[in-house]
Amino acid sequence: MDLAETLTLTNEPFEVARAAAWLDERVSGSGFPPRVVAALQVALEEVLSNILCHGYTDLETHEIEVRLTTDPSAATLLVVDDGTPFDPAGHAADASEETPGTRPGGLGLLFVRRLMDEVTFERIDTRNHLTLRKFVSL
Amino acid sequence: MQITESREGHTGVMALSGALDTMSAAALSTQAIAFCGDGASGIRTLLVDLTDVPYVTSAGFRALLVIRKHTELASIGVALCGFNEVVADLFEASAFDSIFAIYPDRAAALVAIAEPGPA
Repeated sequence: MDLAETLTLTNEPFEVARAAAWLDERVSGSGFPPRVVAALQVALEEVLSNILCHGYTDLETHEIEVRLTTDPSAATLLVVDDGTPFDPAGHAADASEETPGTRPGGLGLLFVRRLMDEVTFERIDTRNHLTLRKFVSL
Repeated sequence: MQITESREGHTGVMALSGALDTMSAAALSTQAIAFCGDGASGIRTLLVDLTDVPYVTSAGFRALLVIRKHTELASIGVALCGFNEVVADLFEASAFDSIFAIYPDRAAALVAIAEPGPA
């Protein structure tokens, strides 16, 4: 069954758990292979954690929007936030040449790129739009 | 995530059930450090069984590093087992597969751990 749903959360650590539960409810029974479900879960946590850790320079409450769309061939997560501009393409991706464990902060981005088939970024007005797509192989 | 502790001789086994993520990572490292102690527990190797873990996020990887740093200080070895496809992929991507002993399942891990080292 195709899905198109949106979750709005705030930039609080406990919201990451709520987002994980929201995603799990929607994709676990979707018929997608477990590896696709797991990949989406990891990618979402990594993106949200990065936003919470690095996205804001104030102590204000900010909204983050997560939009999930699925069809039989793919699942797509669109994460929109109004934090500081963050284009993942501008950050080093390959941790494999470094001593493992010396750059734990960069692991999240590495994992997103490794697990998602498409990662695209746009800065629209004052918002980051990060689209993550995972194809379902037939 | 649930953690079940058991002993197999000098090997302490922690079997995890559920995602190892930002919500469960701190509990894992805290519990593992308590489980191993400073060596007085008699545990020579900690085996973390991820057979029932659907995925591990970077928070989980950081927790495993914390555990490893502690166990090294206590001269306790660490081994991991039971990776699914996604977990194995991330261990390879991060090169963490070069700093942990990894086995396909608990049985293989216990056999390997029990074998005496080269003379």
